Amino acid sequence: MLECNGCSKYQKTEWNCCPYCGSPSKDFTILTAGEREIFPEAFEPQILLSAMNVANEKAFSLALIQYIQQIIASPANLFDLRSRIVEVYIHCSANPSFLYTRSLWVSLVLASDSYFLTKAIMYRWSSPQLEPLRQKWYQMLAAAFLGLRQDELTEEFIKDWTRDFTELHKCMVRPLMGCHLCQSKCVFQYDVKQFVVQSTDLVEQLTAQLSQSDTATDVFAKVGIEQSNDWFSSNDKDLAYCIATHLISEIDLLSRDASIIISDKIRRLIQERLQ
Amino acid sequence: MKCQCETYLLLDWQYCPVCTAPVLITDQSDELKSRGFHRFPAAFAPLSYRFGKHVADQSWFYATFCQYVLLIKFDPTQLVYFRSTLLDRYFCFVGPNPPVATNEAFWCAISLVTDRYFRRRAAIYSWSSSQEQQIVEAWYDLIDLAFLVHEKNTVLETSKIAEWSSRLDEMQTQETGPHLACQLCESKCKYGEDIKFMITNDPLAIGEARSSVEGKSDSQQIEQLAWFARLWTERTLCLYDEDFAFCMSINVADRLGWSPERVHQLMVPIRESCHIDSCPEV
Ligand SMILES: [Zn+2]
Ligand SMILES: [Zn+2]
Ligand SMILES: [Zn+2]
Ligand SMILES: [Zn+2]
Ligand SMILES: [Zn+2]
Ligand SMILES: [Zn+2]
Repeated sequence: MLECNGCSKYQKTEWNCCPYCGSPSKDFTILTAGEREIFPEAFEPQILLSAMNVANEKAFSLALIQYIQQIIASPANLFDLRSRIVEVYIHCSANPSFLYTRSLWVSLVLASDSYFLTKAIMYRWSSPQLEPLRQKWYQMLAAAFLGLRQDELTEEFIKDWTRDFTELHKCMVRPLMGCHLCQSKCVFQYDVKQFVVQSTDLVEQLTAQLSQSDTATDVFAKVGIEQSNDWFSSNDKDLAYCIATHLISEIDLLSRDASIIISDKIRRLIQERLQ
Repeated sequence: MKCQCETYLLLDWQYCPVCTAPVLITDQSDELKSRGFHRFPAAFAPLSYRFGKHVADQSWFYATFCQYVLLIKFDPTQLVYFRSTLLDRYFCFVGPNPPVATNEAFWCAISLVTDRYFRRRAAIYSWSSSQEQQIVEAWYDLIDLAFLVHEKNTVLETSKIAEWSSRLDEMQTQETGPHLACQLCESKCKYGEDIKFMITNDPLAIGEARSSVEGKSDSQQIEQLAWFARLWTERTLCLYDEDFAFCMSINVADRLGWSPERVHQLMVPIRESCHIDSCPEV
């Protein structure tokens, strides 16, 4: 990841100057969170190239978001659900057996960095806020995928990371109508949105369901709960509500006005069902 | 915000990171004449102004402001209570962790919307500039007390708010309304503008109305239309008002492409369908 020397804000590689202070891109420095030091042999040109292709695959970046949310839902998932990442890696890679461990590691590093960077810019995080958490994330990945320093990766360690990372997202923003009822503003929006916009089948299915029944509230409460479990192995009330709210905004049937009215009821239903 | 080079820009960026052009502050000179400026100049500092203006430019923020003034007419205490809804809307449009103080950018947004709202009213009702000035200044006196921090704790009296609201009401009285059917309305024409704005900016709601009247008989269409208008009235005002619902019906019918003659012909049954003894079931 790149940082501006002038104002220490995160920068994208394709940028020509810092949008905050105007420093030219030659004044950007690379922040290495130790991800290269952990496994330096992996970062050779040939591997980088194939890993870049994997990291750019939508399926792989979604799998990573899913994995992060699953870990947030339950720390044990760091080890329990890593096989899903491997599966998706094999699916996305042109030559999965080619220096497999190294290539998977670099793919994870590149995809993680692009996830962190997008969010850092969106949430206006500074490097002192995010860097410690990014380093810890690579420690977690190294334990799960390279078997390094596993003894340090206690449940406590992961829980601390989860808490601090979630905390970083807290702000007053309400990207959608209905967000005023959410108590985790705004922790889930980016991750949820990546999944919702990919789920055209689900949206179609919901649209059909809605035109047949008049219990829209029930339909949305149910799909929110189901998908938070399905996508993120989570029972979080706010996550389920966030999914429902994003789906409402994806579906053209409801006016903004109508969606405000049903939000209340959906929220209540979700709260009742996820006691 | 977008740069000339089509790059999407965050509101607090000073330069476009792709073409490196500085992001120009839009000309503020007009807005500095805002009566809100003198009451809280910090709210109009360049960055705060950029956020405030972005929010004020959203049609949904304007619609919420229209609703705000309407609500106050029916319940003066809403001047204070509805603030949280306005703030909610504000937070819809600023993005995470905006680098500006909320009370500053929010005041800027409210001031810009206030100015626009009353400028528009003045044009519609042909107010003189001194009339406009007085009503706007009196409005700022009210929201100043409700929104800004003061050393001295001055109580905002409900009677003051009600007084202001009825003064505005008087200034919005007209002999005739814009539609033929307006002859049955007893509040000419206090709601037409706001309703038209809300409808135009909620195309999905009109879609809902359209699908509920399509392929129905005349009497069913009237029933559906009025049902829709009653529901929307309740949502907007948190209570029921027959003139408002009737005005809504006429405007929705207009948007649905009913001819003025047809609406005129059907106005009596439409009005009757808007008449209810108690609140409708929402
Ligand atoms: Zn900079
Ligand atoms: Zn949110
Ligand atoms: Zn949400
Ligand atoms: Zn540009
Ligand atoms: Zn009217
Ligand atoms: Zn009546």
